Amino acid sequence: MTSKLAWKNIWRNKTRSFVFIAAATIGFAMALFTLNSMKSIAEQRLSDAINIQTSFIQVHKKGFMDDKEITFTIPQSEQVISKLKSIAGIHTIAKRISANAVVASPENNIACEIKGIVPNEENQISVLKDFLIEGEALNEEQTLPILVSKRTAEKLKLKLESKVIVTLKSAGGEIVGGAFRVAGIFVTPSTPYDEGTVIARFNDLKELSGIVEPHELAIKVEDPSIIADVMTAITSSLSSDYEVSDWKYLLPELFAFDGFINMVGVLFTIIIILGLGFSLMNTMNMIVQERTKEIGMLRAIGQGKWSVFNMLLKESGLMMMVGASTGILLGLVFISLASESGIRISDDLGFLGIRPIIYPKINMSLVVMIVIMATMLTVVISALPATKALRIKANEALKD
Amino acid sequence: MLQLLKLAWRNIWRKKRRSIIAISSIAFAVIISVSLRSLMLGNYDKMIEAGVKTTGFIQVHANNYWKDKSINDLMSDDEQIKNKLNSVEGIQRIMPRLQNMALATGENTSKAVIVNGLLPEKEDEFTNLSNRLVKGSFISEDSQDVVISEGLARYLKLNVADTLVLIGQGYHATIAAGKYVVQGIVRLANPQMNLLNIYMPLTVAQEFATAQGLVSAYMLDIKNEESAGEIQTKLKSALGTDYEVMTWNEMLPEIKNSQRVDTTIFTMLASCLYLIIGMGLIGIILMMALERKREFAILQAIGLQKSQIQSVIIYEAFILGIVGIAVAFAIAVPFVLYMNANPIPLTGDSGKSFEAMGVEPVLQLGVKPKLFALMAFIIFCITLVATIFPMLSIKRLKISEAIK
Repeated sequence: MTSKLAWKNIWRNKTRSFVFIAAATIGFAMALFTLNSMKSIAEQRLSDAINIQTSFIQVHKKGFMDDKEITFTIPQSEQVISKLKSIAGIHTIAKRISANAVVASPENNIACEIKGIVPNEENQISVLKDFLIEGEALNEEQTLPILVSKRTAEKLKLKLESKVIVTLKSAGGEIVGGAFRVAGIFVTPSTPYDEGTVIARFNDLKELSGIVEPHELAIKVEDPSIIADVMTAITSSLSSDYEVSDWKYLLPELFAFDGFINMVGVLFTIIIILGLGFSLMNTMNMIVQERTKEIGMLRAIGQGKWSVFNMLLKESGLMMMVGASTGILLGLVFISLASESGIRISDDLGFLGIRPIIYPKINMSLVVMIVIMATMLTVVISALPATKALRIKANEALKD
Repeated sequence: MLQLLKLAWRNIWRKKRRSIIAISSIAFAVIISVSLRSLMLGNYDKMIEAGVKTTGFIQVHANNYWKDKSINDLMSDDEQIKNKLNSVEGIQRIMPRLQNMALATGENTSKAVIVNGLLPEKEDEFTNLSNRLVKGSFISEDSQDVVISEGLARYLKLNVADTLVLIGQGYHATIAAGKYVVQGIVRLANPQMNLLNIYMPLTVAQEFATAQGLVSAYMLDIKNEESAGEIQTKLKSALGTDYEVMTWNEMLPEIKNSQRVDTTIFTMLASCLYLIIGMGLIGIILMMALERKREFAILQAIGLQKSQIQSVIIYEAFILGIVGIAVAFAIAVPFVLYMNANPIPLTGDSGKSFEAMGVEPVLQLGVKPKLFALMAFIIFCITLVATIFPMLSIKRLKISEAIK
């Protein structure tokens, strides 16, 4: 009953209601659009890092993650791999050598991480091959191939087929060096990864350095939602000599960034809704003042104090909700448009691993968050003028 | 005019509630935007502070050195160039450096490192690197030993008095190799940097790279921060095309880029906020005029000019604006000043991510008077716009109809 009344009351003063709803629409639309874009950036950054660099889960020898020492190879890796293959939900397991090396050309040298990979498995786990701008991915036929980034190629003045010398510490402790040929050049969204990584074949590195066992096993799962289960299964089937980490642990800054964005999002939304709250308070204030007589009359014919309060609350609540709904719809429209055409952010965010153009994806959890915040704050904000209505005494209001 | 002002002031307080809502909404918008922006600008200052400590305000290199930092692009460290550098005013300190990459080996492990050859005493006055010693002592000019970063020491399992072996590529494709005793261990804020750096006296670094008498960069400390651009231009003309001169801005574009992103986000939030508050304010001022049509008609009937009535409306609007701004400043100014002097230290993960960028882990608010002026100006403009429609309505007011 009160809701119907509330709804009708809103439209009694069309202009006023329209102005408020328009302001609310703009506010909510902008809030949703901005938040969604920021979230999409964080998600893209994370998925790039997972798909190109670490994959979802990694297995190491216990203690490897502390300092990434070259001597901490995975003991009995072949047995581990066959044991893990039987676990449900695992898509592929790829083994990798990970060592510090100096890569030199006659022009210059860089210090970096060299990864020794097995082409067959690696190409199923890492999407690096999609980021090659020249040459081809590693395969079993090439002779001593190496993949370098465009940045590295520029620094060392390399082209395809250029020769580089890779120097690293062998399993026995001496410094060894070997020649490789550039088979492909890549550009990933992450500049630090590009500048610090080169990729060669597992067997080639094994021959050069005498390192027989891999340092890490990268594991891709069938579906990201089952990561936790797969991790439990892996941990229980391995002894405590090994440590199992998921991407949250492997990419802590990205995980923290995600949390940061969420916090910023909530803050943003609260500020906008509070801003709207002032308008709402003002509107309600005007309404209560204008309708003192009417409220008095309602009380006189028997409507309870709280019933009137309720009705006023509903009026303001409805206005805010109408504004929120249209705002959210408008925001969703903008996001869909942007996901087609992309939003151009800066070219220079490679040091954070952010791509120059993002295509935002609609994130419903944000919509839910905004609606919840809007509801909570509306109740608080409109309570103030509505309480004034509680104090209206029927006889005084009806005077004159 | 004074009478009209008095009238305007009294009119505002006739509807106490509404005026308070209007003033609070203005104050809210200004306080929030000023506080947030001060936080961002303060943080920016801290990032610059940290950045400049690593690169100096200006650096001079051989032409094209910075892009790929090749060990072959070196400069001759002679009197000629030093005189040219000294000829430009405003430079406080000249610190020569020779930087190279190498492989460092400890007992069982090896790591790629950055070898920094420098003049220990001269640089230390600027970078205060010796303050970061956790073990041992800092190198001096005639030392033959090295100082390494903490993470590196741990990785290579080296302690003070242990020997470090370095292998790399030297000048003109020579092999760089050497054994050095660890004299001290420093802890660098950035965890990546903490794993990577070795510091040695310039002459020792030059011997290592077979680059005697050569340097890769001159780091310059200047007296006045703002004059970096000016000094850069003067240096460029003094040194000619064989050299490149870069400011910290150009060497650390990440700082400007992150700032740009932050500014964009802030602008969106602030525009949204001011839009919403502005619409509310316009609505309030509009109502204040429209609901008093009868009152204005009567005032006009007893002799007040239309222009005077318009003035009263304008005064009312501006008084609301000014009081709102005054309230906002009364709260925001002491708040910002206090927070500027007492930054909140950040602990846990957020603190660590700040340190990872080499920035002190605090929430620092900057004091920027221009910011306050800008926000006040925005409110001023909004109030101005708000008065337009009321002005028009009063102009068209017909006493005969309004008085009914």
